[in-house]
Amino acid sequence: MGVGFVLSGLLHLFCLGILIFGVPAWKTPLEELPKPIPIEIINISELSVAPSPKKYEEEPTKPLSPVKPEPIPEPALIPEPETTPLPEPVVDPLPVTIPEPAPLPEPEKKPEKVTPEVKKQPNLPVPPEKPKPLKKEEKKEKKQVKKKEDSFFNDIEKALENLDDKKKERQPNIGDKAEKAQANEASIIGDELSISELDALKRQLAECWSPPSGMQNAETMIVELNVSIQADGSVRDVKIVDLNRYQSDTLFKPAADAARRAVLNPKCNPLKIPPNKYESLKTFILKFDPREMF
Amino acid sequence: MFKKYRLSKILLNAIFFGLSILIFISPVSAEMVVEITQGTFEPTPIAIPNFIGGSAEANEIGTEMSQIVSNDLKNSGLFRPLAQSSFIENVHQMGEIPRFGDWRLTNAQILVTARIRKEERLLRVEFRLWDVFSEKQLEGIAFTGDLSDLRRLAHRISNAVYKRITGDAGYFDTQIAYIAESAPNTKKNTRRLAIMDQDGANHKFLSNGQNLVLTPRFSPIDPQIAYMGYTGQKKSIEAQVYLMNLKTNQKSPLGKFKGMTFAPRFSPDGSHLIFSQTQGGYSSLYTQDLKTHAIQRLTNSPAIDTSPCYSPDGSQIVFNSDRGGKRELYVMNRDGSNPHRISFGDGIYATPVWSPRGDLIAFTKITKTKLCIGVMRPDGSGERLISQGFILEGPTWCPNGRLVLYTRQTPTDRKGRGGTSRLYAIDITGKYEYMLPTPQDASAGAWSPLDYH
Repeated sequence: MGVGFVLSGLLHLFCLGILIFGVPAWKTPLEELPKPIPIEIINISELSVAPSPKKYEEEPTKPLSPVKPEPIPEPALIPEPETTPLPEPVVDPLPVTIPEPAPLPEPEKKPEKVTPEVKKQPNLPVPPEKPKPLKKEEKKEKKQVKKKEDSFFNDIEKALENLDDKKKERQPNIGDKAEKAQANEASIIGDELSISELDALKRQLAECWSPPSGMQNAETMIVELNVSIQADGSVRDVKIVDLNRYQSDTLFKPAADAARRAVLNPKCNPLKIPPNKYESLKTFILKFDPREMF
Repeated sequence: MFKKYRLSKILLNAIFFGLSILIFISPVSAEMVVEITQGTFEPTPIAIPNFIGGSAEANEIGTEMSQIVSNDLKNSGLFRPLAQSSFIENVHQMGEIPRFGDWRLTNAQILVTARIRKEERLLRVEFRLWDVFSEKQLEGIAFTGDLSDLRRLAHRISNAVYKRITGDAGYFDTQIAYIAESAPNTKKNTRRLAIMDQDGANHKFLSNGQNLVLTPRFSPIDPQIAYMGYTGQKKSIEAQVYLMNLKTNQKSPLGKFKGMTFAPRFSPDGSHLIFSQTQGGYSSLYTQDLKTHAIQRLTNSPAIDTSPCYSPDGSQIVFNSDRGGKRELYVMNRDGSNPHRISFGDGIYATPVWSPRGDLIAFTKITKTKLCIGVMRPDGSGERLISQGFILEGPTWCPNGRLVLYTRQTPTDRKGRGGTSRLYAIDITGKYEYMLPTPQDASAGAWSPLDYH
């Protein structure tokens, strides 16, 4: 009875000890390290339009009054001794009369001879441009802009997921922008072209498209073309969607022509579209947007 | 009764459901949009077969003109004229409409054709511009002029091609004034004022090299240039701004000034000349009305203010000043009010020039290791260096605002002596650059306004 009581007491004490001090730790537990957050160091200009930090280094200083020993006008203004010692600046002996050419009469505009439509292909009816879908495109663009605002955080999340998942290999050529654009377009076209098929088409046309560079507001020259293709994937007809702007805007005109040449370029024909998708893609809109190129 | 109500409710629901599905589906099924955001900046391949005429003489003129056009367009950097040997269609047998299939095979995207009619000294050139891929005529113009204007007629064709394909005004019918140097950076060097067409043709010297001349600038309205010239002997040397009439070759000093006057530039309307004048170790900016000769002082600070240049609308002036410690670019109103600094990068900024389009200011930038030509927006943002080298200086704009002309010196020894000094024109995108064909070494180029003869 007494032994049992003592044993019971000891066991109770043991239990109490465990409750107070915890289970004895035979091994030092592994500290759970926080997951590393990958941070890429890139130039500010690549991601944002924020002014470079240099700008803040030097605030515009108030005009001081520095004492200068001598005026230094434009470079190389200081007289060189060897060129000076000539006596007088008289009339130059060279015959320097510049004959004025007779004024050219104003160029007469020649009545444009309309080239008869030399089209090898029969003129198939092109579906009339519907204003409705275009409006929706605009709305979509707005939505895309909104999406882009949020997409910075989404991108970080995406990047984290990609790092965790070792099976997914990083494609070095495709930047974040391209991924974003692809994601956006995937939503536009649904299941008509897969992302890789779309990418192939884009790469093909990128080689043929040489937009006018250097013109004022070149980045606003976004050209939409209504393209219809033949059964073999080659372009049958191209129509500039915004014909009003084509007629009135002298800068848009060359930009639209350049986009049209890209689509009709033999280098880009037939278009890289899988044959089984010609049916669903008889006509589609190609939107040439040079903003990312400047 | 109740059943009927229920049935109609179900029907209504079904209709609403169907409609909503249709609304969701319609944009997808309407038309696919593929966005192309990347392209390739490449010179446009252009076919310029010899222009043809009715006689051997007209054919000869046509060949010369087509070569001038080809050379103009090639130098612009935006076109790649194709070799005549690759052409399939014989231009002499060409009908009204070219065989586009043949031209596609030559890789040409654009085709220029022209027919020439010569009646005594009168030339009539019917020029057409074709889009080879869309098989459309892009332009059709007939130019008429005297035989002596052959080069100008050809330049006008170049202008029309350039304008239609790039959207910018063509600059081929222009002239360039510059300082011809006999032996740059040596004691033997002489400097002569010279003028030539933008393609190097019709070269003329305007001074004999006895006196030092610098910084020629064209008047925007008259055949007149302003420049800085030195006169006098070694000790009584005077440096002043002169005006030269290009028709009569008469030159006259701007006026009597106490100090040295330099860095002249015309106002966009040609009515005023803006320049720097030294006084007591500093220099300030002044304008002079060219009719009334009234002088107005624009800056008055104990600093070196120089290289003034008007904005194309004449409302503002960009200039160079060391009033803040080192040489930076400043912009002020045309009456001298509200001067504010626009350059904030490392290094020294000099010789700002406002683009004729108004969208950019070109400048020279001097860092510890190199000299650069750069452009920035008038508010100082978007600074971009477009060319760099040992010594690059004196940027000036092509009148269409697409190219920047500047002087590039390449020394023969490490101390910067000897070597060459040449004029280069670079596209503002920085993608294309070419050397101007001056007959000898050159510096301080100035481009005339468009259609300036």
